[in-house]
Parts: sequence; structure tokens; C-alpha cells
Amino acid sequence: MKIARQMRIGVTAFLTFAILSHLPAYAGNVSEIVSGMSAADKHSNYIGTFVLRKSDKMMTMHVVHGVDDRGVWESMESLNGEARKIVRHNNEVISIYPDRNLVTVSKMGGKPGLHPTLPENLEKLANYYTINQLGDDRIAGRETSVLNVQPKDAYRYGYKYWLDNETHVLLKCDLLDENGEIVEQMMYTSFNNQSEVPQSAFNIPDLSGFTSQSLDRNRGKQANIGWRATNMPQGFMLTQSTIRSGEDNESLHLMYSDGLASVSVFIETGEDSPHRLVGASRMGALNAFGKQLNGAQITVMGEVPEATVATIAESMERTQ
Amino acid sequence: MNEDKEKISAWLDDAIEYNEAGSLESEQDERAFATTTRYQMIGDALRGKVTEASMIDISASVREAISREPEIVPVTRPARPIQREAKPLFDFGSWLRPVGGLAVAATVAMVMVVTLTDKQTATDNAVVANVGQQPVQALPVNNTAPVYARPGVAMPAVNLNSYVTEHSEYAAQDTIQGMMPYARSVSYGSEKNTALKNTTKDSQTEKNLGK
Repeated sequence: MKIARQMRIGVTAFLTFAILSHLPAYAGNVSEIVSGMSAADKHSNYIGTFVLRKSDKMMTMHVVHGVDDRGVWESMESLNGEARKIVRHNNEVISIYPDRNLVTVSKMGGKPGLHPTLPENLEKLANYYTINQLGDDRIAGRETSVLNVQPKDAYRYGYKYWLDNETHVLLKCDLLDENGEIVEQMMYTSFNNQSEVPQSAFNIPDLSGFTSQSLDRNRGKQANIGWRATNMPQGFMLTQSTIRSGEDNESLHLMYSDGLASVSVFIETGEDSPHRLVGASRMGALNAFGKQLNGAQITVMGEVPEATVATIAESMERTQ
Repeated sequence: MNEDKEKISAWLDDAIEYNEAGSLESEQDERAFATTTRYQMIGDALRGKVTEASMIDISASVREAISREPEIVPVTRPARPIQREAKPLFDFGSWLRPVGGLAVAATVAMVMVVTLTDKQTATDNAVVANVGQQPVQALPVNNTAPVYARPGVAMPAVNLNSYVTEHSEYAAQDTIQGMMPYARSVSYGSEKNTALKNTTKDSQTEKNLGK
């Protein structure tokens, strides 16, 4: 009896020691993995194919990612559904829609995105998410580390990341709603890490006859926007603002982010707004909520719970 | 007895009239009723019409079957006053018995829950185009749990594709998820049935190339 009790105490002590001694290394490793994931965009050359599942729809895409002395290049092309190609060079994004003879060009000015602010950004993320390492798994024939990112409140979704052990590139991603259900899933089915990728992949095809739309952006300019959210969930910061003036209307796009989740607020003035959404709308992981206020159409959307977009929309008010 | 079963089967298939099967009542009521119920359930299952009520009967049957199992009586050993028997650290036998019982019950419960949940999820996952205009309650403190009642009034769908595309492209610049938001951006535009319509007018920046 005495021996049994001693053994129980021994086992308990061993387990306690094992768990406690594991914690600091665990936390450090998570930080390293997340930082690696952010940095992978600027250091990796690869070619791959991934599938993206949203609700009952599944899409396949071919991606080429390269880095040279001029920066980061990326080409992404849909292999099913409507033909569409995105070519990105650093912060400039060109989207080509061959079926509609349309090309959009967006270029972000000012300081770059939140990526370089890691690890400070990681510390901020820890205020709103609990990040744990779940173990290892294999995706597209490659060894990966799995991270579980769980929100600490009901204003954001959860994430599960599968990161390539060698390159830290995100090879699989689950987006989980407030009930833990997967609302969006991305996974590479083939992934080839390369020393360099062919530049021809980033060539822009002949765009004769295409309609071009340019989207210029201003980052973080809060002055003279004329609108503000009085009840923004904690952690979301204004990261971009865009004002576009048309003949009969003016539209304002405000972008808020907590480092993982992003929320857009679109405000259109004028009577012929084509986006007269009143109430809630959902497309896969994306929730939207619209309302009209003082002759303006307010539409809030993002990969966040419906309650989040509704709360923000209802709190928008004019400042001038 | 086989004749009875054939009669029940024929009656359920509407091959004979109720009067013809009526002789069953006077023979073995209880057994005939059980057989009828079982046949009805099989028929329903084959036609994909299993109801909640019939599923509850499954759990009742399992419960009844378990109650009919012989009781496990612990074997008593004679006391040995001089040499005390050492107790094992973990008595797997005593663990396994209740665990086994729980496993059976859990399996039955899970079959029912999965079936019912599937139906519910199908409803919840349906793409809601645009529901309602009931105002939501704005929260004075932004770190509390959101209080939000989903409006239930359906409205016509609104085309938000241009917003979605713009949101996705912008979102990509403000997150550590690398190309994930760009992938979303491509995927939203790739859905043939929800083709993006660039309805936002911008006379200052829109131009035609090569025309």
C-alpha cells in the first residue's frame, strides 16, 4: 500500500515537472513559428497548387511565389470557375478578369503592412488570441507544425495553421467560427520549394481592350474621413482608408485589423448606391452587415462573426 | 407465425385491406404489434423517412437489451488474515466495466446526435443572402461578449462582389497570413454564379486601355 502511494506521488510529480518544464520552450517555439510564417513571404520561392473550400464550394488555384532583388512576386490563378489571375509585386496588386475584359490595379502607399512589426505584433495578438502548438502533421508530402489560434472573445474567428517545417510557408489553414465549425479551409495539394522561380510566371498578358480601374490607397489617414466607429472591438486598428469620388457619389473604405482578422467599412453617399444592404449577409466565412444613416449606405464586412460586423455598423457615426 | 408476418408485410405495402389482416389482432396482439412497428421502421428507413420517434425506440430497445444481460457478480475471495493482498495501482477490470457501459450508451447517443446535428447544420450553413433589417443592440463596452439577435426577415440579395474583392485585396496587406487573403480574393472572383460586377463608378480613375 505504501509502495503504491509512493508510486502515485512519483508519477504525479513527474507529470507536473514534464508539463511545467515544457511550457517556456513551447511558448518560445510558437513565437518562432509565427514569426517564421510572417517572414516566409519575403524569403521563399515555391510553386504549388492548393484548394480552397468555402461552404459548399471548392476552388483550385495555382500559385507561383518568388523573391528577387526587386522584392516579392506572386502569381495566383484560379483553375476552376471564372478565369482570374492576380499578379502581386510587393504592395502592388493587379487583378485580371479575362472574361470581363477587366483589370484592377491597387497600390498601397506609405509605410508597409503589419508584417514587419512582428514580434511586437505577436505580443498584441496574444491579448486577443491564445496560440498553442498542437503537434506535427503532413501536408502535400511535407512535414508541418500545427498551430491552434483561439480567440479570447466572441468578436473574431479561430484559426488553425499548418506550417511547413522547412520554409514556414502556410500549407493548410482552417478558419473556425464561434462554434468551432470550419467555415473556410485552404490546403496545398502540391508544393515545390525552389531555389528560384521563372519570372515569366509574373508577366502581365496583353490587356488591349480591357477596362482598367485604379484603386489608390492612403494608409491610416484618419483626418477628414468624416466618420468613426464608436464601438470597435478591442484590438482592431484603422490600417487603411481610401476615398473615391465619382460623378454622383463618394465612397469611403476604412480597413481595420487586429493582425489576423480584417474588417472593412464601406460608406457610400449619393442616392444611387448599388450596395443597398440592410441587415446581415453571409458568403462562406465572410459576414456583412448594412444599414442606412443620414443618406449614406454603410456596409461592414470581414472574416469575423456576424455580431462583430453588426456591432461596428451600428456604431458608425458622422464626425463632421 | 410466418403467415402473420406475410400478412403484416402485405398490409403495410397496401397489398391487402385492413380487414384481411384483422385476424392478427385476436391472435398474438403484442407480438404482432412489435412486428408491425419493426416492419414500419424498416420501410421508413428504406424510404428515407426515419423519424425522431422511431429513433427513440432504438435507444429503448438497446436499454431493454442491456437490462436483459446477466448481471456481473463480483467474485468474493476468502479473507487471508496473515498475508494481505497487494492492491494493483490501477484496477483495469473495475474501470472497464462502467467504461464499456458508457461506450455503448455514448455510441447510441452519438448516432442520434450526429443525425440530428447534420439536419441542423444543413439549415445553418445555407447561404443567407440578405436577412432582415431589425436593428441590433450596440454595446457600450467593446470588450464584452457581443449581444446580438440574428434578424429573421429575408430580403432580396444585394450584389456585394465589388466590396468583397476590394476587402480581400486590402486585407492581405494587414495580416500575417501571407497569401491567404489574396487566395480569398481570387476565389471570390472565381465563382461563376456570383460573377463580380464592378458597380462602383469612379470617373477619375477608370479608363479604357487600347480602345
